Amino acid sequence: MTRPETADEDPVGRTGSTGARVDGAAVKDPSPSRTRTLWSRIPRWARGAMVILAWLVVWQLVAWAVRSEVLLASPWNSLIALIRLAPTAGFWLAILASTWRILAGFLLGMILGSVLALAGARWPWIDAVCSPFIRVLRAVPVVSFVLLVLVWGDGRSLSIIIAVIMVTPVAYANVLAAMTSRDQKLIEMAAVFHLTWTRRWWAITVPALMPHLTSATRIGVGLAWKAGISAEVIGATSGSIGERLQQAKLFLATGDLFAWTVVIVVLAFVSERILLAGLAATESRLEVIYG
Amino acid sequence: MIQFDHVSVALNRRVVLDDLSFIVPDGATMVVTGSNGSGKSTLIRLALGLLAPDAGRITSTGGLGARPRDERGDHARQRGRPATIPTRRFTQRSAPAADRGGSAAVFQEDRLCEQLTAVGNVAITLDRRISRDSIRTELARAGLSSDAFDRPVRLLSGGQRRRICLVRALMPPAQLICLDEPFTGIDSRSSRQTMAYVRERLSGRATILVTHSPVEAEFFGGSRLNLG
Repeated sequence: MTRPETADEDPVGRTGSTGARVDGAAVKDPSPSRTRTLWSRIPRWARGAMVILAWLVVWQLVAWAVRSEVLLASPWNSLIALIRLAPTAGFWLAILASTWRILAGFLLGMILGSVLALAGARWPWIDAVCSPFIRVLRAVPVVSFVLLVLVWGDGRSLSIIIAVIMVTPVAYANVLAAMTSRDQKLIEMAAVFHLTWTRRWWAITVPALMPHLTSATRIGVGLAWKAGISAEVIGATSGSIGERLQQAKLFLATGDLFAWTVVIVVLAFVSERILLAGLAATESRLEVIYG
Repeated sequence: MIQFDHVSVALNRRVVLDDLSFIVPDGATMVVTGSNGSGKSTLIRLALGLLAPDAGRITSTGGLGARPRDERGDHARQRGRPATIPTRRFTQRSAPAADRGGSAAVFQEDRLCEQLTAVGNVAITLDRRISRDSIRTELARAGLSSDAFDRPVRLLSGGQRRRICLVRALMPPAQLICLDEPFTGIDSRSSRQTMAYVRERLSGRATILVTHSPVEAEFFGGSRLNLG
């Protein structure tokens, strides 16, 4: 396993983040590093806000150019629509209903994919059986699954099932990659010292899993929201965000459409942040317990 | 005790060890020397049971007990492959190697769990009844400064990490200790103190020490095996 170098071991002449040599001997053109320094001096939140503001300006300019609120609602009108929707109970009920369904589907998909991958890593025949099925899940368009689920059964659990279908292959691939990329030398060490399986799990397997679970969460949450909302739109799930989007389209209320889209983006972002923070907290808690 | 009896092994169709026989009784140390690629680390892997010999027999009070491939009747098929580590056989037992007279090793690489602290890396190989304070005492005796005890090992220097490896190998009362270039990275000023600590902790156990250093070989004495 490679080890990050510590500051006191920094070899002379190593390149810094700007590409200039740390010892300073080879620095000839400092201008690129100056530009980066100016940008990096601005607080991170302010940088994010500036980028968002720049894109809002672009959106507003395009909306002015199009000159049709039906084709493209301006950011201002979308904001007005959002302010109009926010005080209504239906707005919050739709958010709650869609969020719990999509996050439940995401969690179920993560659990199902992880369990299958752990079993596949332990017993190769399970991987051999599951891999083609997982490939099929990845290749089939989401709309095919939506229509199949609608044909087969209840539309209320549609977004849960679709989120599970979308997230399971992601979790499976990431957890399987984590299991196969575990440091074999550490596994040998564990065998020589006869570590119990619980100690192997917490000391070797969990640290190998964490980066892959983080990656699966990042990808999976986005997929779950996109596919889940699409399923709600197609299935016209009662009392959901998808149904509200469908209604906005029917009534040509483009402002509402954009307002709901902003809500979805915010929900996806917030849920990703909360889940990643949960993973990071679990990891630090484990370090405290087993450190 | 560990005994090699006419042991041969080939890796990637190259004979690494050929008809090797020796015995290291309990309390004795065998110093293994030899040039790069002469089979020193392979010998350690065989002794620890991480690699099965192609021919011959290895008898040991520690190790994972990998049998020669010809005994299993699958010599041709398994040739050149590492022994299957009998994970389940050992992991189902509640106590670690410490209480079973098993093996312990300092590998050529550190093989530390990067996210764990120095104390944590030693603790995972020991019975839960052994206190963390006793681990700290041992780490201090091996020359590790106290500020490094509770830091994740990924933040420690090569020499500090090596001392943790030594304590991890020496704290369990394993009967077979394999040390593969154990003092690499330890500064010359304190290496003698560390070697004295290691020699004291090795007493009563069978030890195989791989080294390139004549000073270390001289210090630990015992029998010599030169692999060429």
